Amino acid sequence: MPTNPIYHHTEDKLLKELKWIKYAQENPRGFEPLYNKYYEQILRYVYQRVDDKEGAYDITSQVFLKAMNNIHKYEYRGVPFASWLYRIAKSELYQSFRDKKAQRTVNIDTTNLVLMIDEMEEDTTDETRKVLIKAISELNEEEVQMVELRFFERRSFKEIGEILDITENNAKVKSHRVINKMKKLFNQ
Amino acid sequence: MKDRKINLDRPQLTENEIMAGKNFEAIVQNHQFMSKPFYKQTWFFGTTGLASLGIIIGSTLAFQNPPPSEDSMAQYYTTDVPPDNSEENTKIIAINAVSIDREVKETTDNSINHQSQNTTTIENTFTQEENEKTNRKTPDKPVVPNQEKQNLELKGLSVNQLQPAEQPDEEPERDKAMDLYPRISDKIGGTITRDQLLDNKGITTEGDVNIIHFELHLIDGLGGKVYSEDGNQLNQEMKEALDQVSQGETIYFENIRGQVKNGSEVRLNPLRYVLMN
Repeated sequence: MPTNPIYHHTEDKLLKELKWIKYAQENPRGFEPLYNKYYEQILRYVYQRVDDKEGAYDITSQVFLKAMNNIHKYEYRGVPFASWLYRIAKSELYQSFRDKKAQRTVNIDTTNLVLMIDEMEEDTTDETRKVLIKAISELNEEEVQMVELRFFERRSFKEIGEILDITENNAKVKSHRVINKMKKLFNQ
Repeated sequence: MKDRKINLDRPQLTENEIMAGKNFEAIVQNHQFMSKPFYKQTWFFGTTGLASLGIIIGSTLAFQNPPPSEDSMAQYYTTDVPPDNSEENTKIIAINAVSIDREVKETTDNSINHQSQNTTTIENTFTQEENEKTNRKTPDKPVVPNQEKQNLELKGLSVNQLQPAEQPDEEPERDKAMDLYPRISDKIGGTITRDQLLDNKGITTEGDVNIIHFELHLIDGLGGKVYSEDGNQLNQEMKEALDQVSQGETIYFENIRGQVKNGSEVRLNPLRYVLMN
């Protein structure tokens, strides 16, 4: 399955980013390059999970505000700064769902459903698409999250692991479990 | 079914929509606001500023009327002691030549503290030689030589001492809240002439209150007497007592009670005047 290449960085890019982070730790205005670089990614990630644009803008602003306020706590672990931002975004999203400021929404692109159907080794028909959508609605939150990251946003297992703060292998295992569960739901 | 909404093929955000929500300056401002210590934030300045302003205004209003001078405070404290009705202390001791002579002779141990102050003043007017001479000549009789001179000195001193340091010469400004303030000749305090004091209106108020009782307290350095009257007019006894009060002395009207329209009694503010002639 093709994955989104934006997330992954070369060693040089990671070191350049680290310089920006150190500058941002000394001066809040130094955060601007990081903001410009990751704003779109984070906004799309948030908007994928909420129903309205305004809510997505608010949550994204909160994510960057929290990042700026806590940048002094950031520890470089050899992964892109984006993984830290995604974790903050995930936390902010769930906070918004708990506060009922935003409604949990699963945005499904029907072209992405084809990838899932292939993974499940089923025939791609309108009927199977409908059943698949119904099956997604039956998944729990953690499973839906995995489906979104892996099949709708086409992220690699490495990236999923960094966003969910689990290992790459664990991300793979979880992804397969979700596929197996969906197969069962599919055949019911 | 979980509590989530499923959208199919929702349009993606356009470039313009993405840029619409991008505002780094707003985030920096929020960051600065959140990272400021509370004592540097606007709300803190606002709150403390308003509180300070309130305290300043309150203090200004509270201290607008000057505090009574030490002498008048001393006299005021003496009024807290119920007047002694014994023969010695029932005499009104106005500061004049005749009464001072008598009171200097009749000074006793049970006189109130303020006596000693005046006594000291009297002794200060003597020379040491004169004192010794006087003590030798008249050990039992406190009739002192140079009596006239001492009386004059004493009178002068006492009058000066008893004049309140910062008595307002003019009547304080009135407002509607003062409608129930009692008054004599339309004065609620300060200086008053004997004629104004003895006018036939007595104690009145601008409000709908009938004065049904009051007490006249005449105080001097050696004690005082209380006269009470059910009504608003000075009785004959009070007038006679006031005749003996000299210029510069303070006259108190206390325990002033009035009756409002519905028949209930109200206690009104006391009055204090300094007699001018």
